[in-house]
Amino acid sequence: MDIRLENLTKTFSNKDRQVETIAVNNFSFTIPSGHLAGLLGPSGCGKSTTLFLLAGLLEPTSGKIFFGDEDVTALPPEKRGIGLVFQNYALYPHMSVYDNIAFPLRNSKSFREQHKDARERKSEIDRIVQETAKIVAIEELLDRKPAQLSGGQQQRVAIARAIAKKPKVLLLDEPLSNLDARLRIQTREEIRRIQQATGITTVFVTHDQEEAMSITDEIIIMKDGIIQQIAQPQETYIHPANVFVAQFLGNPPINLIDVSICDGWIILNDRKTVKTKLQDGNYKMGIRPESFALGTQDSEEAVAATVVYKATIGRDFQVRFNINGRLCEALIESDSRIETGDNVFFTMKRSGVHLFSTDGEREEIW
Amino acid sequence: MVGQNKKKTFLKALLYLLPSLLVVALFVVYPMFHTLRMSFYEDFNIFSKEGSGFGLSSYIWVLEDPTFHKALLNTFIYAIVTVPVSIVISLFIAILLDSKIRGSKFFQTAFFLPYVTNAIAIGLAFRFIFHSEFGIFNKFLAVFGIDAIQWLNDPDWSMFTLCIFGIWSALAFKIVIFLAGLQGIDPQLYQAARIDEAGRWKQFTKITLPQLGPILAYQFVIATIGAFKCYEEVIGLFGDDGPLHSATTMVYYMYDKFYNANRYTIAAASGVLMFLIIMVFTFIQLRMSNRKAAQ
Repeated sequence: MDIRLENLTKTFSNKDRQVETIAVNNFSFTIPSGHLAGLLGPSGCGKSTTLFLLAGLLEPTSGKIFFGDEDVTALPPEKRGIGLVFQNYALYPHMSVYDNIAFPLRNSKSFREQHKDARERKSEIDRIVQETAKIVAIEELLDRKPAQLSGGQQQRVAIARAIAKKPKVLLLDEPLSNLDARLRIQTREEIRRIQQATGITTVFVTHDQEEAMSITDEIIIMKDGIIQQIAQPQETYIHPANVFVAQFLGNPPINLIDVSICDGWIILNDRKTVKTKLQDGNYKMGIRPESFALGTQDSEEAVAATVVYKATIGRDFQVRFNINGRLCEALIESDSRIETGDNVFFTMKRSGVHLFSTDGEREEIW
Repeated sequence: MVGQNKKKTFLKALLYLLPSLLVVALFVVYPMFHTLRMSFYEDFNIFSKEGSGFGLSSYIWVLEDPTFHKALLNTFIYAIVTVPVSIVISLFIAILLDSKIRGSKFFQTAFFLPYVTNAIAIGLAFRFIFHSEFGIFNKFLAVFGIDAIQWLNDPDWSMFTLCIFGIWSALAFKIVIFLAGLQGIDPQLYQAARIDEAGRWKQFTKITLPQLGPILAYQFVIATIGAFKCYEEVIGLFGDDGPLHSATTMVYYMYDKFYNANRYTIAAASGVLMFLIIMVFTFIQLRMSNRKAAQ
């Protein structure tokens, strides 16, 4: 079932101070059926609000939400047929894991209609709980209470509870934020596996770019309630739509330099470096740290710079130098010979070089 | 070495505790033993602290006294009626106050006011409310064509009147405790329950009640002890123990025997009996709630 948003807007007003915050600003996009979409953005960008709007726990100020062809904008959460995994799981602390997973099934009206006989219903619930527990690998924990579980186990229980009733849409609100690094990687792959096994259209909220990059089919990048870019994960990295996206993705962050174009050449450190089709003028240039490489005076598209800092981090050298008066960082393979104070030439891979207009929009260099 | 240190810290702790221990010993422990001793005499002079006729005669007298039987029965009726009813009503009101209704802050204050008001003063106000001729209760009933009820003067009605008053005056404290309990429940549990298609009633039985479990047990124990000690309500409402002793309670009986009848040993014996009864009930309740918690 695909999810479609039409001009969705949510504002919060603070009566005391007469301020209005636009948490979600005129969203329109479609998540195709069976896809795993990631809502990515810094804290306070409105991604959780978007998720709660999808869940029906918040009411939109204007706009519409469709699940498939059905307009669900006015439906309360209990009638939307969704599964939601909360940031802090919100497991029922007084119920066993088994009862937590069975709870939505016991409440579901449609489930009761499908299985009219009480005994048949009970055995069917039992079958589904066992089956779901197997998917998330918690079969041995069914008679424990949530407080007796580790964070990772609780999270898998929360996922089991959300998918047990076979929801049309699965929503995950920063589900990995409470886990340690190793468990986080393990669980995010688990989420991807479960999502692909069940084929449920899933929306995943996160502020962690790596998380979003690694498991989603497409990423929706947000800032201050406004969508910045919707694309496949790799696409957002290779073709960032604007300066914000370029800066937000990538670790270490992209180098951002003010440049000017003269006679069709991009000027870097007073040298005509890269030929471009763009008009002359002032631009912003982004260069990924890993796309620098050591070149020679004769290299094409090379920038001359003086190394001001060098450190070894694992298999790379971390090197800093100035371009157009801005301190830049590069990761260079550690088999190169380079020392602090050297005057060197750096070549740049074209895939790691981006140009933006002064108001931040992407421009194609070539 | 370790043992020596332990002894030293124990003595130090004892030194700090001494002032309050002295106060407790003087005003709680000593009177308790004194009452126990007094209860075993037939006659006792509270000034010379000398008694005569050591034995169980006072206990026998109390247990054979029909007024004590009446007091015992009334106290049990009062506890059995007011405790559950006041808990149900106060929980209902607390849930209403907890939901974001208009003016809930005002109502929270309004419902708490009776708790900070003197029970005797409230009793006096209720005497007017229950007045057979001018009281608002009977005026209200008259609207529906019901004849005036002798709330305060008819021995058959007096316990009923006392229970209504008792329930009302017990609400304030319970509402506050329940409100605190309700506000301690994670609101996300309700959001999760809505996602899981639980209706209002399901949310109440499957989330609110289990989450309030320990608070409910606490309220039950405290309310039962309070009901067994009911006495201010009787005096406030009737000025004495009601027409023909019809609304007498255990504590009122004790008070009456001590101050009005000057039968100190009888009062002491009834006090010891009451202490035993409350202890047994509290013990049973705690055992029950502990077993429930263990489940």
